[in-house]
Amino acid sequence: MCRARAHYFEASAEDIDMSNKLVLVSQPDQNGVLQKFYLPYDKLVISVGSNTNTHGVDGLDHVHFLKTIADARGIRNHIMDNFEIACLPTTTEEQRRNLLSFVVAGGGPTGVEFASELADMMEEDLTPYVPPLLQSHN
Amino acid sequence: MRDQVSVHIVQSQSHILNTYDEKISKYAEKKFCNDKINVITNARVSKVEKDKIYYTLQGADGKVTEHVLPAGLIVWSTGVTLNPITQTVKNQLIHVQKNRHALETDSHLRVLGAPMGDVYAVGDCATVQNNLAGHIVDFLRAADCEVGKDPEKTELTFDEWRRVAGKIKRKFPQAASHLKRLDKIFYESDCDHSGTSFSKYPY
Repeated sequence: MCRARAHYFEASAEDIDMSNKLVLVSQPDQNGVLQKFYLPYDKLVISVGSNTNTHGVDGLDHVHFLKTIADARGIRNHIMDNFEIACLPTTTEEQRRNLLSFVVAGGGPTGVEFASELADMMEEDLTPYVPPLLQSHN
Repeated sequence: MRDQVSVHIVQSQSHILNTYDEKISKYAEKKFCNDKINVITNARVSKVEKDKIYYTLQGADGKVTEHVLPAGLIVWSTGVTLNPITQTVKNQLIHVQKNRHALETDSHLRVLGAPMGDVYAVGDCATVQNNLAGHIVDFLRAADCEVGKDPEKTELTFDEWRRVAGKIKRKFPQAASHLKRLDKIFYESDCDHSGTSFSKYPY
């Protein structure tokens, strides 16, 4: 970026005034007060990506999205936690079934790839290492 | 313990991967059937709780029934929507921008409706609007006018078509592979090598 003599602002674009070629930019300052300024442009490239579509469903704080590295890590930790709890001798069979019920909402490319990877993970990586006590339940 | 593990996919359409070719969709469904992945189609998620997911099923008779699935983990992958800033831009250009999921651009990535050549959009926030079928008549008309023929009743020779194809390719680079295929079909159908065997296929 230095070589290209580019400027970098860590801030949010709030609005675009196309007739005057200005971008309204905002960012909280050190006191947490929102500061706004206009940034002029000759050419503007919008490449802000996209948000996850909630479809207006309630309770989405209980679900995992699959967009960032943090999301992926969160999912893996959650799977492993559930598995560890399921392996405890104090867990009932019904609790175990519920813990190990994995639901993917959305049958697009992301959901389908995730579901098949998850099934492979269960089959090949996890169930062979389940304590013998539980395997005898089959 | 394998029999206590279950993987479910809840899909609102009648098939998974419904935006892809039917073959791919069928293949995926068959594979999932073998892998014991439970695919629930025509299902709309209505509510999510910490360890449960509620959905409604629409049966073949149009009757809607409610169901609950226990869930130790829920992954939400139902597609993307606009960022606030993208939504703002879209609202400014609402008379041109009709796509609900992304900004529409022309094949040069210029945002449709914005001052020409000022604003570009790339990546997940944008989609290239390439309405080639809508332009094909314009292309053919222009080609006829160039050689001074009446556009309403004329045949293009293959060489003339190649010239048109070149122009289409310049404007819609994505069409190149289809045009190539068209060339191949032409050579196959042009058995007498007259250069005009498209008349075999009456329009």
